Amino acid sequence: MKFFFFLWMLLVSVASFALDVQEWPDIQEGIISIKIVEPSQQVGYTVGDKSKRHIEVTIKKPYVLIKESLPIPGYERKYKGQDLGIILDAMDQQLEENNTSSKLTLDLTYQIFTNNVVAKPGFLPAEYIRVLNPKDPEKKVFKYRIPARQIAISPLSIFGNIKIEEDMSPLRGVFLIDEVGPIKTLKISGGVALLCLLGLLYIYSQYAWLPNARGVFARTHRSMKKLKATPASLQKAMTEMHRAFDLVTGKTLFKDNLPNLYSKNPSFENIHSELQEFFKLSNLVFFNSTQKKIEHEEILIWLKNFSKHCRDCERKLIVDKKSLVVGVVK
Amino acid sequence: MSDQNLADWRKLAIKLEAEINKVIVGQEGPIRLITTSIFARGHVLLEGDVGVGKTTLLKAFTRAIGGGYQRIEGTIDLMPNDLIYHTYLGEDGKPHVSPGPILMSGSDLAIFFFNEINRARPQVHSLLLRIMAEKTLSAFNKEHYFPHMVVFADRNQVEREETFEIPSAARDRFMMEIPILIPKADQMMKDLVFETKFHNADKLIEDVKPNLIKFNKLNELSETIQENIKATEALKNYALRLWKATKNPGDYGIKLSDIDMNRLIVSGASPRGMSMMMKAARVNAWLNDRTSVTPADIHAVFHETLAHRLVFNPVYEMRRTVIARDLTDGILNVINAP
Repeated sequence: MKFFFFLWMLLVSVASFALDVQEWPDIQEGIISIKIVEPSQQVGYTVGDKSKRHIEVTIKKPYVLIKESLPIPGYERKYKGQDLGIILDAMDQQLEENNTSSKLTLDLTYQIFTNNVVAKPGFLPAEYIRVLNPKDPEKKVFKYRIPARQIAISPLSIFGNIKIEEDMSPLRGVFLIDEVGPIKTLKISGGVALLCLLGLLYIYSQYAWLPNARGVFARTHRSMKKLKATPASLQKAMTEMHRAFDLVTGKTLFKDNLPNLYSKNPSFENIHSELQEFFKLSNLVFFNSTQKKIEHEEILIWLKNFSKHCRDCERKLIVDKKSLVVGVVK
Repeated sequence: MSDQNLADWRKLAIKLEAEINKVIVGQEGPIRLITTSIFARGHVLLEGDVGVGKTTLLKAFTRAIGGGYQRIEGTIDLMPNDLIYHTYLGEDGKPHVSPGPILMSGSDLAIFFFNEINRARPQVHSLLLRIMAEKTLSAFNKEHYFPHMVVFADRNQVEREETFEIPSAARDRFMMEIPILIPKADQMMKDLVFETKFHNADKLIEDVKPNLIKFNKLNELSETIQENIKATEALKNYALRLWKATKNPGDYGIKLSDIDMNRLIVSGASPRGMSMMMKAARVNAWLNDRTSVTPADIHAVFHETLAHRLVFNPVYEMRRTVIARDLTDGILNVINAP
């Protein structure tokens, strides 16, 4: 029985293509309700424009939609024997069913393929859907008309002198450019600009610094951290510190030309006392001929701390004066 | 001489400086360098305009260290024997011979000042340089000794006519060349002009405490200083690099504007020059209460002990003063220690 029913449905739907929509009676009122969201633009269409209709059709049970009756994209309509010049370009459909009704949602996109030298009326054509009651022994088919939408098609160019203030039709929407792309670009650019601003603040603010791992004192401090407290290591550490100062000042730095260092980087003035101590230590390690006992471990610890302070100065950080240590040279 | 004695002598040396600074204003640097040369027993070339107080400065030092002070003016007709004696007809109508400036103070001669040495002939230079080196002189069938003598010579750098430039070998005998410049501070300049005490140099130096240091003890003291103030291997290496840099500064990356560094130097510092530099550096260390020489001690005397010894290409000789200063500064800036 089911087989025959579906066979009959198939025959009916195939045959319906050949039949004019007028051959089916209209569905009685109250069975189908419709809700349409029309495009905001009603006039000013021209060749190539697209217009979209959102339609929601609710069909009460026991009637069901004959899916084959849905509009077919690409199918061009005629009006009074002439091509309408408006085709259904795309269609999105969704059918939801519940106990009392089924809801058909259609998003129909029409494209204009006609034009004229003067404005002319046009319409987004009416569409017909068909329903039937499966419980009806006669399987009678009914049609439901989705109303057309009146539009006006404008010429590509306007003939004659036009005063724009006299052509401010409220029916014609504002000609808008597609803002989605620019807005997206603007948002990305804003984000990048914000990141850059934060980065600059990070770099230049008084207490901020970038982990400038390639700085002279950063490298020296890293190499010094690995040294162990031996006489050779101590001399190596002192030599590396001297080299770092020489590189920063561009000349050999001695105690008597410390102002050269301060002119290159004034942050070092904050550790003046430790710099003086460093040169005392340097004299003790390299140039003191007396058999004065040198506390290698203590001095190396001091040097590591001093190199850290120098690294901070290199990064333009303000070294806390409470952390400065002098008096290592007894 | 013990360490305690060295410390006591150092106090006296500092006191000596303070005494000289009392009467000679605005010359702290040259006074320290002259003090250094006196304790290092080195002869000094003074460089500076006329009337800046060189004679007063030397007289003040002589008063403080005791001993004889003699002076002679360099002139084109000055002959070597003018240093040794001069002849005159006495009241009795007979010719007389009296000692010249070199012999006048005998072996007590402490400071001999040769003003405008480059106006004297090379024969005079020759005699003076021999006395400087050997500290002896044969005259009147007798050998004269000047064991405590330190020579100060002034070169007139402004007027070049009728002058005889001291050859490089002669310049090398001087331990230092010290510039004496007019003080730059306005107040000091005002004082020099308007303070009447500066107008009478002889009276001015009476403020210096006399015989503060015994001049005849200085040779022994100098030897003690040189023996006691040590130099480590690192310091010796540093001095060696400095020496090499005076010979080939271009090889050490030293550059001077408008100078072809490959052509600049004809001859760098001599071994005598370097040993004199180290002598002066040791004294500087001692004056600063150190037992070892540090790079700072070398820096304190580097330009003054070496610049006048460098022999430049004749193309650059006329700009010697400026180029020598830039070169020695460049060497100290480039050569690192340790």
